[in-house]
Amino acid sequence: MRALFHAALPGLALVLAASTAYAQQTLPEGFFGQFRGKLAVDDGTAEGDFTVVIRRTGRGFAVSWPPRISETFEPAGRPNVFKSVADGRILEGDPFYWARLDGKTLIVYAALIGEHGGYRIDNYTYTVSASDLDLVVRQVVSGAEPRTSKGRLERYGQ
Amino acid sequence: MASRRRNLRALTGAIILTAAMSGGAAAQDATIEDFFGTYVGNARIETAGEFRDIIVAIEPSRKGFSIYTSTVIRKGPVRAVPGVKWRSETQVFVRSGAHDFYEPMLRESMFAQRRTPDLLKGDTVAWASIRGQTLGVYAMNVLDDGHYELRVYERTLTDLGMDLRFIRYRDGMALRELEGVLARTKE
Repeated sequence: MRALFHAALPGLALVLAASTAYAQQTLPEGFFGQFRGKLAVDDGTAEGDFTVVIRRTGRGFAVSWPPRISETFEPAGRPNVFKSVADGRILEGDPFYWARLDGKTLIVYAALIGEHGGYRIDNYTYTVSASDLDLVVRQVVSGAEPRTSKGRLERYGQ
Repeated sequence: MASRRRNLRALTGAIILTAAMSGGAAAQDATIEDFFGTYVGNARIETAGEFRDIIVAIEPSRKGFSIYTSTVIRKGPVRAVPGVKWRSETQVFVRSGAHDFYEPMLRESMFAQRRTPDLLKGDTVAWASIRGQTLGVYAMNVLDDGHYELRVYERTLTDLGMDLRFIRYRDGMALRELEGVLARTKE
């Protein structure tokens, strides 16, 4: 029995180490799936449908959201920070994406500099709530006041 | 790659939106030459109850322009108090190759190699552009924990001289805001 226990220890340590590394490389289970709902601007000026799909990938996770954006994220070498696998050169006009995880909250960022130097930075904050996601979107756009939109996205698929 | 192309197509709308909101580069936009001059005035940070005495000098430089800013930081109406703080800086921007905006000039060195700044490696992305009568200077960072900070310095030409506005955003929230009025000095 003791021999069996000793034999199991290295395996247990391996499993623990692997699960710790796994936690840093991907998201908690509740984020994965398909979610949809209404998103409304705080000042009541606009409302629209929003669908997000979050799925596992080999080294991280992928997020798809409107209008037709799909980005794959992997660990960025900092705890709970993820970089897009597409190497966006922001000063060349490419959108630049990254994400960070804070407990039950995932924040996905999209930054863009237009050809005339105008900018737009969006952050999408998804918080797991029961089996759904609460979403807050903050937009900082050149020449405009910052805008916040909120909504609750219900799970409709795995 | 196909996915990347799709993303870029999807973002075209966002770019158009940004251009529309920022006014793009329109015929009525000021030119950088319109800003050349020296301006003096003061500013206030409402939330901190702090005041600033400010001098701004914008001058031509090779392929671009420089902005010198002198700032005296004071808590009350009197400037000559023990421990008064003063700082100054000069930023130099050059016309960016393919785009209608300016990038910071890098110090020239035989060892320096121009490379694309990487926000996730701690680099600052900075640029400057003119929208309408406003010269905007922007600096963006991604902090170690993944939050972003965007510092926006906007200088808008007025009949008197220049209005000044500074906002620091962190994850979309305005953390600090400064507004000031400067007069153009006579030569």
